[in-house]
Amino acid sequence: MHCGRFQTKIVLALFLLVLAAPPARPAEGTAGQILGGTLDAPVRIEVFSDFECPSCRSLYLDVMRRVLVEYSSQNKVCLIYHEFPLNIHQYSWPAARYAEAAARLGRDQLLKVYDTLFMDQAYWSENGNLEASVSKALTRAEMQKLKKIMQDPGIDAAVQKGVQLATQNRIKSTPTWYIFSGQRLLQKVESRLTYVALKQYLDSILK
Amino acid sequence: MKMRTLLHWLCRCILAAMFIYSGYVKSELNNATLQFAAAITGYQIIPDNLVFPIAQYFPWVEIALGLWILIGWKIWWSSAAASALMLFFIILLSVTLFRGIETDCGCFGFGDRITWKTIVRDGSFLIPALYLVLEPRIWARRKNSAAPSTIAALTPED
Repeated sequence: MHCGRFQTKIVLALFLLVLAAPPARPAEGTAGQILGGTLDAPVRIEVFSDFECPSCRSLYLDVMRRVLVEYSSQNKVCLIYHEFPLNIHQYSWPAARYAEAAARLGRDQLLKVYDTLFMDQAYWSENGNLEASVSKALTRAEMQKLKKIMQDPGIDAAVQKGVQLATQNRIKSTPTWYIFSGQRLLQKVESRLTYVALKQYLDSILK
Repeated sequence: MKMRTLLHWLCRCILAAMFIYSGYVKSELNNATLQFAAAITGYQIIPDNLVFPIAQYFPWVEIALGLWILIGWKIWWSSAAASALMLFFIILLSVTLFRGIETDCGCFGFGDRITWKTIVRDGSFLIPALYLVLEPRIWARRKNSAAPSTIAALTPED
């Protein structure tokens, strides 16, 4: 009889311990580039990514672009991109600079530049010719404007801000992404995922 | 405390702690359902549409199994289920390694690549599970083999 009570107490204590465990540290929703949706969307996805990382490429092209079309267009999901160029990649920082500068041209131009940077990753990561890739996505006038914007020291500061935020959140690899509902952290993922699995998850929380 | 009781509790606590911990780190409680889904995808064996439901419910199966073992109700059945599950993990990990797939084990957290060490580590948990399954037989056999010598020892005095 005593043994039974003791076992129940152990089970209860373990269960409470599990429930009381602190959640993973959340990212901040204010910095980064909003790729789709608005901050008052029911779900917010924040991605820390590197333009030269192959897994980030697949996450963006296969998953996040579809999230933008199917969820952000209806403001169900706000997708925020944080620059986190890793030191191991030679051209990540310059690529992030192009992306930050494109954001100042507008969201359409920003998305075009993101698409082209990820799609041409194999090309520019070999030779560093980012300008050739970016110029395919923009008009000549936009490209000239972009070059001017890139001379602003604020561009490097914006990239640095992403790196700082990643460091604060103890992010060590890319892609690392968070899913929030308001201020509540729902998920932390440190790799890519199939769109089907993410869609099933999003549908389950957006019911 | 008798040796048998000590071994019994040791095996139960190891198994229960292992299943509760491994279930917890992969579960919604740790905000890790999608991370676990990503790990499952890495095995390249589960259809895409089944990945999320498995990631959502499997950690709870592990937690429930851990609690079941800890409570001790129908211990033979719970340890048999644990043995079957451990065996399934060992086969799955070995097949994945033989297929040359480099992926996250997703066993007791994330970022742990599948190697022979992972398989040996997971396989070592089969020992307490099998002990609990075979415990009645082991001790019955010991009792039987001990019985004649006891009689022989007692005979002169009798």
